[in-house]
Amino acid sequence: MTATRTASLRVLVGAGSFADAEAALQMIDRLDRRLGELGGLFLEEMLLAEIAALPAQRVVTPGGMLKGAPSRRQLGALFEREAAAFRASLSRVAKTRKWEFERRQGELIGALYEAAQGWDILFVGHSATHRFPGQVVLIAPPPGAPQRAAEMAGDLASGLGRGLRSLSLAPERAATAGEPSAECFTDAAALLSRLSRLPAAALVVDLAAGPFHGAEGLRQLHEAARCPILVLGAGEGEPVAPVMPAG
Amino acid sequence: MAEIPYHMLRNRCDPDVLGFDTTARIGGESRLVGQARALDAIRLSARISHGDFNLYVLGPTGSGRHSATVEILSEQARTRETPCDRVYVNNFDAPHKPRALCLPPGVAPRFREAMRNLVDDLAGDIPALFESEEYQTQRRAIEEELSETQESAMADFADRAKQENVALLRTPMGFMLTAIRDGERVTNETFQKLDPEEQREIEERIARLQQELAEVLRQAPKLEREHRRKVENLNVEMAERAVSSRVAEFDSELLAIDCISDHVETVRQDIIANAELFLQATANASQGPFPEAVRRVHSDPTFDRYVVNVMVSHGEDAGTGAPVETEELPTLDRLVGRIEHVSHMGSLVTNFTMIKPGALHRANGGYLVLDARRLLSEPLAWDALKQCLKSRSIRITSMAERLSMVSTTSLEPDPIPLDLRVVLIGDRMLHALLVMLDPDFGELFKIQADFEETVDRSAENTALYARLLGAYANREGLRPVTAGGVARLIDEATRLADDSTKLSLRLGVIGDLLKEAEVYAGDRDSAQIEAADIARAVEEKDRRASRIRDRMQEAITRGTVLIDTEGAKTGQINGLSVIGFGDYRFGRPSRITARVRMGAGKLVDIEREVELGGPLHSKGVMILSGYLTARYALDLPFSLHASLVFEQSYGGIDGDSASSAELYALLSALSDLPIDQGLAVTGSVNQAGEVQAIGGVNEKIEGFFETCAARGLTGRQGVLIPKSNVEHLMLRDEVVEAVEADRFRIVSVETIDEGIALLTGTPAGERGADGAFPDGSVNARVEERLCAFAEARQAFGRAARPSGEGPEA
Repeated sequence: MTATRTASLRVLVGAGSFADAEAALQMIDRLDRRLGELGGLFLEEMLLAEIAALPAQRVVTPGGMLKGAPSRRQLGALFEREAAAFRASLSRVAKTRKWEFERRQGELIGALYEAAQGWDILFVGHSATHRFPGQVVLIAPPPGAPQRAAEMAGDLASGLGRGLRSLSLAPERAATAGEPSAECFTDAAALLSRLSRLPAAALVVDLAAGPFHGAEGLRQLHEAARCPILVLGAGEGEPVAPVMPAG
Repeated sequence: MAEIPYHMLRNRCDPDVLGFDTTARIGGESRLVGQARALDAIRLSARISHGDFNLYVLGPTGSGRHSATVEILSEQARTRETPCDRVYVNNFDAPHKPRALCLPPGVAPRFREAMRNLVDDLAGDIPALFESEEYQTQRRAIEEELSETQESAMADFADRAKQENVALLRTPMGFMLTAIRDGERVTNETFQKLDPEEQREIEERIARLQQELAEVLRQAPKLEREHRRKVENLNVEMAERAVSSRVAEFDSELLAIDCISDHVETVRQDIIANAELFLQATANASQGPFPEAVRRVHSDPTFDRYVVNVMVSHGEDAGTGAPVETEELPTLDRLVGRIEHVSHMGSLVTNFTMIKPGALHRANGGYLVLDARRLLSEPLAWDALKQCLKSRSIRITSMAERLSMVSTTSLEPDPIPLDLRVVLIGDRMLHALLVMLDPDFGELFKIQADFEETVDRSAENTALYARLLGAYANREGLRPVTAGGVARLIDEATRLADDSTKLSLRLGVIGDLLKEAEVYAGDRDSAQIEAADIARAVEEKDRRASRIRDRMQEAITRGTVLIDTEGAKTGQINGLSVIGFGDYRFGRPSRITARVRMGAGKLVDIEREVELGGPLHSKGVMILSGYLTARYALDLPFSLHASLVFEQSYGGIDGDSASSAELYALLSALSDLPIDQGLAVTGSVNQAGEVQAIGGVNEKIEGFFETCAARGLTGRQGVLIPKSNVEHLMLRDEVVEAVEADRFRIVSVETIDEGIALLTGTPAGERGADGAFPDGSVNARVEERLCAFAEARQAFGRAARPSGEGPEA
């Protein structure tokens, strides 16, 4: 275990926008001591262009304004700028380390899950939705499974100066009493519902250890958490959706 | 006409009447002599409680007016209450208008120290409290509450969208919504294939949810405002706990003073509202040589807002009464105080801690002594002083501000109530000018203390004067003065007064003589200052200043300047004049000549013609004309043309003291009787022929005496002086000794007739019952000459008119 903690980690940061990527990259800066090679993957979801073309489609900005949806051309230009900013930020964080950057088209989670093959950590970017991110949330692996996610969550919480909260799934067990930082749920829906109401600073999950597995598990967590997700074991599963290399 | 006996030429003080051997035997303290009127005025001004009874002390320099004034004011000040301390503190509502506080005497420094300690302590207490687990926990709870509220709103929306089969998509620009149909997101392509009813239903659903999402997101700023208020309330609550706890330990005696209590409460509220200042100061604190516990945070400019700026404190002299202040350099700033500025980022800034007190602040509640001339010569200082006295408050305004010379931030400090007595010390000329030209002066300076320049030389005053000199010697640390020395000084004071019956009160000059005599006494290794030391001091002082006098006498002795001291000459006489350089005066003879001939009644004053004669001199000459026309040949036209001149005079001449000499020269010229050149004359004359007193009689006599002495005294030489000047005689010993030895004489005359008789050796002559002067008398010869001029003029007139000339019928 000690060897694992001191080994350099290869981290892939994936995001569909610069804002999402930047949130993940700032956290990676805190893990600087353990960082080895750094990768960046910018996903262009072309489905967005199809949806943006819907009649009367509008974009709700983070400030609550309603604006007209972008055209395909505008969206393409936007992706171009976002990718360039992502790349620049990635190179800044990488400093002297080895780093690589790639653009792809496809569905975000599926593509990231597939691209994570060969990387120690997948960091799914997500911009902050509120000014005061709360604790680092760990999806605790089931008993008996490797606990590397817990160690990583502890390091991240320490690096961010945040508390650590653990959410676990144990069908046979009631919620843990007297441990406010550890919550146990009997089903995944309840856990996800709780997760969706937590102001998490980041989520740490080991897809290989469970209880959530594969791209679908990651997609559910991403949808509920609305925060950066540090994913272990993503490269150890199978991709769930085909991806195409970008242009 | 009478020769004055030698004992009347100098009023000598007899050391035996003084009643002591040396000044060591007499008391050390003594009041001014003969200044009762002035001293009473000073006392009145010091005692009167009403405003505007400020004082102008006028009199000559060296009269002791300054020290006497300060002494009396100090005496009176000791009986008055010690005024309150004055401080400026921050006005938290309007920082450009600092507040002035009035505190009991001596409290201001203690208040300042207490405030410094308060700040130093809170600089430790407040950060400690904000770093405590208690505060951090409460703050985290507030932040989590906000975050959870926001997350819940988003989660609720996501749930609703999901229930309504709507997907929430994140894009770089924001969120987009699309319907889910058969588990797939509806794109434009699939949408177009739907029937219109379903399309409308989807559009309506999406539009509604977009509005809901927008509303959720728009709630974020509102929630954050609420959060900020909660955090602020928490901060206030925590800061209040720390500040109130520390304020409760504040000096209870100080808090018993209302204005301090009010200010401390204001400070308490301000610190609570600005607790972050203390947190920042701690965060910015560099690691200095001293540990955190002893760091003096109050010196950080950040905390200037809590400083107590002590303008004036009477702590050290508490119980000693009111202050008596003297400002030697009464500039505007030093008088009313100033507001300093510092350069910050290229601009001038200031705050209430840069308000500096002036003399008015220091003297407030007591007395302020100023030199009038210096005050009036300082730009705007007099105006500022008057304004303060009128408004009875000290309002600090800089010269630049008054002249609108600079445009920068400045302050409007609370005016400080002013209750003081201003004492101006100056000369009479300034007083007269102020009375005449400044209408405010009379309103504000209602009392004048007019110092006498001389006092009667009575036995009583002489004794007091002697005590005064003794006290002066003691005060100045001089050797004791023998009775002979004191007597010599008293004689010198009489000489200085220009009057043998007076004593000069210009004590500064007498004191200077005494100090110089101290040196000579030291040269002799004498334990006492004796008369010889005083005499030497007088002599040396005279010698130091007499270079010009000596050169002038040398010019006369060598014949460069023509002065006869023997023989007799017609129409020529020795006049006497006084030349002054500062305090030094000396006399010198001048040859005055008169020439006469027939004319149209014109008396030409050559000095006036060439504008070397002043108005008083011209007046004297015109009086001569009046005298002649009223005295001689009354029934004939005045047909004289005469000219008068000061020979070898190349500078201006003024005064009428030579008018009698000029008249004697004229009478000599008219009578053709020569004047004894061994005599010199001084005195003015009126139209009735009476000889009147003049100034500088001693110097004039001594000036002619020196000329005669240089050529050898004959015993016939002397000076004619007005009889009314006899009591002013205080001649040098050498002159007195010469008169005593009949080698020189001084004659007093009352009338021109007396004088001309002595000068010509011919009786002047009184007009007899027949209206004529006695034959051969001076006056008869003069009248005869004038009649001859008149007749010659008439004859000339007849001869000059051609025969047959006249109007034709």
